[in-house]
Amino acid sequence: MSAIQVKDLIYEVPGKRILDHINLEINAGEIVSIMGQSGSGKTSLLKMLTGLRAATSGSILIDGVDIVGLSERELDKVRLKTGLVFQYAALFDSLNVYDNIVFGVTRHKVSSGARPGRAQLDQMVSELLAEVELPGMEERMPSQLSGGQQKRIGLARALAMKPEFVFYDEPTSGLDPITARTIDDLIITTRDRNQVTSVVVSHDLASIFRISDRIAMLDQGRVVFYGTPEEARLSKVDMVQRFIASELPGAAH
Amino acid sequence: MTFTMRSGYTDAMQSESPHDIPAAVKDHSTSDSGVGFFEALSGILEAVGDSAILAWNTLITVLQGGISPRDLLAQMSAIGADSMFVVLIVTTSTGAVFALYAARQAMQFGFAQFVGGGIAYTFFNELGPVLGGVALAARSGAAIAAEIGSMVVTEQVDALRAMAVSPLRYLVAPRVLAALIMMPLLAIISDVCGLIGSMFTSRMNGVTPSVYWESVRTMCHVSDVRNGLVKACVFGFLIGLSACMQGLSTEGGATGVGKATTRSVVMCVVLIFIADVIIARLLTGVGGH
Ligand SMILES: Nc1ncnc2c1ncn2[C@@H]1O[C@H](COP(=O)(O)OP(=O)(O)OP(=O)(O)O)[C@@H](O)[C@H]1O
Ligand SMILES: [Mg+2]
Repeated sequence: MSAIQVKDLIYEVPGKRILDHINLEINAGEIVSIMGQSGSGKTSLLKMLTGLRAATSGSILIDGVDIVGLSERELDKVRLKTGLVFQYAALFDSLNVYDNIVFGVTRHKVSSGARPGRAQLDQMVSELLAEVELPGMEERMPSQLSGGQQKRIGLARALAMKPEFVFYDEPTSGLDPITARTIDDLIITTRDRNQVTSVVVSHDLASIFRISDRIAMLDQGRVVFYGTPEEARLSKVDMVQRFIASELPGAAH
Repeated sequence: MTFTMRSGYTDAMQSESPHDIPAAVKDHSTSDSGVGFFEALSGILEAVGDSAILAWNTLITVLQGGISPRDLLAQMSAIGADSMFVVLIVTTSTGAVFALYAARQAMQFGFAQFVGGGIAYTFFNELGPVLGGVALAARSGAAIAAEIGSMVVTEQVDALRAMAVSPLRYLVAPRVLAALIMMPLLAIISDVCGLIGSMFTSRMNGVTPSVYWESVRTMCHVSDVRNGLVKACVFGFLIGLSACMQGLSTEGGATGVGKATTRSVVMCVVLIFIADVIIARLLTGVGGH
């Protein structure tokens, strides 16, 4: 059975249909990239997958549990298995980098009784910071970080909870190409380590073709293509062709 | 009224969440452009309904012991530190000015022995909690609405939810409880400052401190202070709750945060006066004097 199964998902806000009959099946341990023009509904889709936005209709099965229509409390059980990396980081700006990263871990371990020791947390944070190439940043406040740095802390924060599913919203946008490749590698190693199922929203074609097992193309709230990177290269779908062509040298016009 | 009553939680809060945060307004267009009486009325009713749901859920969270003591203490000290100065200024000067008028009249018409008691009675029952409440609403209520509002527009509230941390438990409950605990303390400070301020101006106008305090002793009872504290608790709860609610219903970036903050102050002050009338009626109705 697929780890994530989206069936006939519709999301409407007053006067506008943002997602239109989305169908997607994602296998455990797969990395699926979602691409699409700005405003095509990529962020909205990720927020639906974590239950942050309520679907108008359809179903979303995460690990076999349909999260559409669940109460916030029931959703929280599913959310313990998922991590979301926000497009604009969404760090808690009253907490420093360290406290941002351990936030989820400490909050949840407190309620379950087994509190990880300070030394254990310190080690976890320094490992995560090394992985996102920001070693020694523990004491910084979010306002003292650049946009790209904030985003990488956001990524570290999501991974700290060791989720089985990770949803990345444009993890490499705004990063230089070298750091962007490091993040690609991190996404791959994260997957390899624990069979983490990953959904990556991205505009970065180089990264998409490097990391993806499958690619979904969103156009105005619809999935117009879903297939492997090879299939994408050969695809006759207009939007896919235009996306790929736009990155080729000399094809800008 | 110049502000539109609205109960809309942000889109972030619109997900069906019967347990935590009320589902709120489904269609913002009606409440925003609402000119009709019934639309305004339904807006108000929805706001009342939402507050009731939020109040109920906050209460359950508090009773379940779901608040971390650290969060609570942090909020209590923030509220205390923020509002203390405003309370000191407002109540000392009100007491002083009040006594200035009262003492002059008293000397002229010969009721000096009523000045201290009259002012103290008013402060214990009414001015202490009300002035303290207004100061709390203006200072801490606004700060709470602005802080939560900016967390909403920068998706920090969504980030909490995505990490399975309930905004109700982490943000709302500690603030409401802290306001509820701190408000009576502020009311006591209000009372003390008001009395000290009024004593000084009374004295300058010829009412001696001994006459002043004797009058306080004969005219006031412990029940007056207690009644004032009951009011203060209710005010604290209302201020904390509506400030959080306005913060959570923020939408539309920095402008939205500004609007939510203003709305919070207006809402809190209006609620204080409405609650004041109701509680005063209840307290004087049941065996008070
Ligand atoms: N609360 C809302 N009310 C009305 N429309 C909204 C709301 N949120 C998003 N939209 C609309 O939904 C569409 C999809 O938005 P979304 O943020 O999912 O796009 P996106 O694909 O992530 O874009 P980008 O690449 O720019 O981040 C947009 O057209 C946007 O205008
Ligand atoms: Mg987006």
